[in-house]
Amino acid sequence: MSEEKFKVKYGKNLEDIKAKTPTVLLPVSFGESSLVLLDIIVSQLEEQSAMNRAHIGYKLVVVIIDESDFDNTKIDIKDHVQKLKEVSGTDLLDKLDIKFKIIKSESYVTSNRLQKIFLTHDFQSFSGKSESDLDLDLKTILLQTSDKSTREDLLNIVRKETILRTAIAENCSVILFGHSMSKLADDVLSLAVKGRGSEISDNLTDGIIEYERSNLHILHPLRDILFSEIKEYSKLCGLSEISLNISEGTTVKKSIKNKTINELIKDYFRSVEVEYPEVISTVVKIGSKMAHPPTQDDFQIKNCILCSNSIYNDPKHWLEQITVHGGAPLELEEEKANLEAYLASVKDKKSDSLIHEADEVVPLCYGCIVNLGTTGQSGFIWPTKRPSKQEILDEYVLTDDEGDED
Amino acid sequence: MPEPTKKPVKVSQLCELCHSRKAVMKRPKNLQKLCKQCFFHVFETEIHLTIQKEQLFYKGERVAIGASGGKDSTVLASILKTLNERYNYGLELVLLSIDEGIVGYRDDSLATVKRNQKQYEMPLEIVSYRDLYNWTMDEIVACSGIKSSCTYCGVLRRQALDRGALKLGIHHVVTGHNADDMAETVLMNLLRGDTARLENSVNVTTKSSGSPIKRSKPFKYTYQKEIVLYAHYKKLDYFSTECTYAPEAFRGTARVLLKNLESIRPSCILDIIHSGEHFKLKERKKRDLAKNRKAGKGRNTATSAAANSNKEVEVRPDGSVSLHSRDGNRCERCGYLSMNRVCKACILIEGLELSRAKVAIEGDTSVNGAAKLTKTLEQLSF
Ligand SMILES: [Zn+2]
Ligand SMILES: [Zn+2]
Repeated sequence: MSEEKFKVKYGKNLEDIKAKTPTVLLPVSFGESSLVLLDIIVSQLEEQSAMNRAHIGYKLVVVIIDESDFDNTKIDIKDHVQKLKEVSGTDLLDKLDIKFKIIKSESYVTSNRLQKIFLTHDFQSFSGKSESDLDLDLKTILLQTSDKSTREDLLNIVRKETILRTAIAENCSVILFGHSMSKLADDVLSLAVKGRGSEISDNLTDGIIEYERSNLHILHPLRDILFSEIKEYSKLCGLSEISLNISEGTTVKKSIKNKTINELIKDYFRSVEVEYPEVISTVVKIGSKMAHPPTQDDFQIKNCILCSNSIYNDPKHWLEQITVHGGAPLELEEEKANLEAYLASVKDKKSDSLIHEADEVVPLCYGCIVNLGTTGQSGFIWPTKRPSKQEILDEYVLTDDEGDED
Repeated sequence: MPEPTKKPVKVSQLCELCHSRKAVMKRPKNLQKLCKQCFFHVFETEIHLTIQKEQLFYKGERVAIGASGGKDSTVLASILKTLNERYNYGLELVLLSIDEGIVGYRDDSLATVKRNQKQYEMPLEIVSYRDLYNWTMDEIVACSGIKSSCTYCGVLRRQALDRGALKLGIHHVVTGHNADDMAETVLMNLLRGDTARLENSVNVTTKSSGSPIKRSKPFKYTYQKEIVLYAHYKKLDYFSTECTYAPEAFRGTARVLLKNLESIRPSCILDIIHSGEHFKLKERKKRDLAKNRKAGKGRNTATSAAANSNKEVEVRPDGSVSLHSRDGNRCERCGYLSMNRVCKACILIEGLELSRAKVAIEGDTSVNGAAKLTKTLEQLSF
């Protein structure tokens, strides 16, 4: 945050200054880290605004994703945003021209973009024709799988995309993530465990990414700070009272079987960091040294239809090599009879044969193939098409009636 | 004899692959319900596919199987014999065992290997730490403590296998490292920040430059639990006691994590290997430059000087120094091929000799030991 573009601007030509002032998006989850980052930024902007003849260095947009439609907590986000504003000082926020946006996660799902995705036994992925009668909300979509880790992974995709889309809609060129070093270490290990190792570099790098032909500058200002330190800071500043501790502390009571991959990894770090305090910074350091993997055999990099991440090598090919899907030959008469009985039993069900001729082969990354493997075989419905910049802007204007209160 | 009247198998109980025999097991890798025959079929075929894809062997190759008597290497010996015959690999297979000198553990497991020798009709060669290094693992643990036993053993065993193979004139050693081991290694590399190993630790075949020995892991994608099941159904004779010396505590934590993860997502072992195969580090120069920029320094002159000269000096994470040259270097102490001036085994042994010298006030065994080591190593020809 010490870069030139965030510093105060001088001059009399307001148009000129406006052009030089970037708009910065800060997603606030009401966890301690993002609250602390907001607190620090408000202080920085306050300092900047107090300087003589200077204009503040950047314009801040705070985005809060409202998941109350499907999480069980039934939290009133509006209420919480109001509390947050009071803690930060409503007048100050106004003076600094800080905008608060509440986006419902539901906005990620609009019925016209829903598509059914199928995975065959030999790991080929198809999409069904866009079925106009599909009309599901996000909760129903996530409930298509009973696997908690898959739901969590899908929800992370929704969150990330929602943030990126908001950045485009709000004309932001910078996104600040409040992730602590501890959270980043969790992410590195979780991605590795989910077969998403190739995504680690994108998740950790501070730098420019391209989204719908716009450049977005991603920064993690708290990347060198342990979560335990952030917690202390938030206590001192009285921020703990408004934090929602989204997943903190609740996992201890659960049995291992009921935990998700992320929860297990979080527990792991919290327990080993006591005896091996360097492990968190070590993991973040090595994660930050990673680059995109090379492709093999002239494989064309594609984007996953489900999570939009880059696919560098054909996961179908990889899986086929290591998981044989054919049985041993039949030998006895009774085995043949059993097979007949089996074929007769599936014949009745064949009518709803899932792979239609018109279906299209779609790219699915390894991590999403694993996700789909947890969902049964009748196909998985997902909003597959990423909207264009214009569509984002159009949709945004229509649905945005909550953000600009007061 | 009249056939016993069997109840027909219900369709819902049939194997998910052949749909004709009763399923008897859930496959650990993907929880598919399979019959015994289909399990053998997929288990063996998958290993064959790995061997083919990696072009692991050539016809007429002599291959040493690192045999410990444990389940992994016993199944490896059995399955290589099976596949060698079925697909006509044309391999000459030899069992190669290391006697680490762990009383109560190794004695029994070596007895198993000796039975395997007969069962699989393969020649057996045993190389001992005592002969090679003049140290047994029991002595090493007594001297350096139990904490780092795996580090010692890993380094010493690696070299012992190489030396044993060379003694037999063999240049290819296969080991029973399985998918669980690979996944654990991937996690450990991340947790230790081991950039030197990050990119290549999941390779099926490794060959350090300068070493005459190729090492392969045909079980790279094979689940440990499936190896156990295969040994069980095939009634293979193996020794199931774990090594007396438990792994170091930190590795233990990663192992527990992996077990927990596998219990909620069985595919995670393969998923982690998939990730490991996609790890790529940024170009070193870029990383260094970035680092220098951050520290506010200019280009590090020492690095650039080293980069310009042909003899780039690299300091390894373990503190040893490597000299990159095309021909394999030899360890100054033992003459064994080594990337470093002094090979890792000699560094460890030397450390041990020093502490033994301190411990043994009377009885001049330290000098004796070092001298004997040099002498023994000199005698081994390759
Ligand atoms: Zn994906
Ligand atoms: Zn079967």
